Amino acid sequence: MRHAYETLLRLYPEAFRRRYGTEMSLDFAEGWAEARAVGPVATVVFASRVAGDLVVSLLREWTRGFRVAIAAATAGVTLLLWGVALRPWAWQGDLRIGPPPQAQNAPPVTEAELLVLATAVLIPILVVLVCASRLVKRREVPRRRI
Amino acid sequence: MAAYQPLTPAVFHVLLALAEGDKHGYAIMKSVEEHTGGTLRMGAGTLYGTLQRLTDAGWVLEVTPPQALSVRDEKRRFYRLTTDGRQALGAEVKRLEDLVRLARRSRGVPKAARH
Repeated sequence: MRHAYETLLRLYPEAFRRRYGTEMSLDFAEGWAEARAVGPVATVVFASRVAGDLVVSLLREWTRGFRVAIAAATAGVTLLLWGVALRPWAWQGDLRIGPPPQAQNAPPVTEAELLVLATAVLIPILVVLVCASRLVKRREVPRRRI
Repeated sequence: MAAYQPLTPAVFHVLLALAEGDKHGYAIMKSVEEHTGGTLRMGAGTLYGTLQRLTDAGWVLEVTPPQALSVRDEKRRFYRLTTDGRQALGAEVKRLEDLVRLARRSRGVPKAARH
């Protein structure tokens, strides 16, 4: 089982793995032995806890230092989707408010365009919700206020 | 004393465990479990991620393992709370005390929780 865990440790960023991999493996071996001594239920509980921690900490370690880049990429994709959804190439220079004269002859909005528009609306909402939840959960990194 | 931002439960419990003395990772995990009566069990990924941040912030440092060690502990690193880390822990305890004092004065809080 320890070998399986050590294989999974390879999923962590290299610097983190090099710094803490040996200790994590030792801790796992000790925890696994203790859980097995208690019984099968404790072993299953231990394994599920390790799996949960692995998923959460992997995500945290891989996104550390890239969170601003992820936010910027999200904003870029959103802008791009809005650009596609508004179909600027179909305006033909007419930017008046209200239906343009050629609207009667314009092709109807397709399902694909509606999908793009819905995605463009949903992404900023999701980003705001995630940011708000992070603010509520407080900062992960302790920093001294100066 | 400098002002500190509130600490996450993981950071707070790691600092609290290290306030008792130098410990290796597994001992910190056990200590946190003991302090919280088993309600908070830190996984290795969370613990070492937290230790990395605390080490980078200068609140915790890695130290040479003590001499009288069991063979299985020889490969482990030991961690020590720095003066900055101890100050941050003290500031957090003070903040929590202030909050509890405030809550106990509030009439909306059930009486049983006020004493």
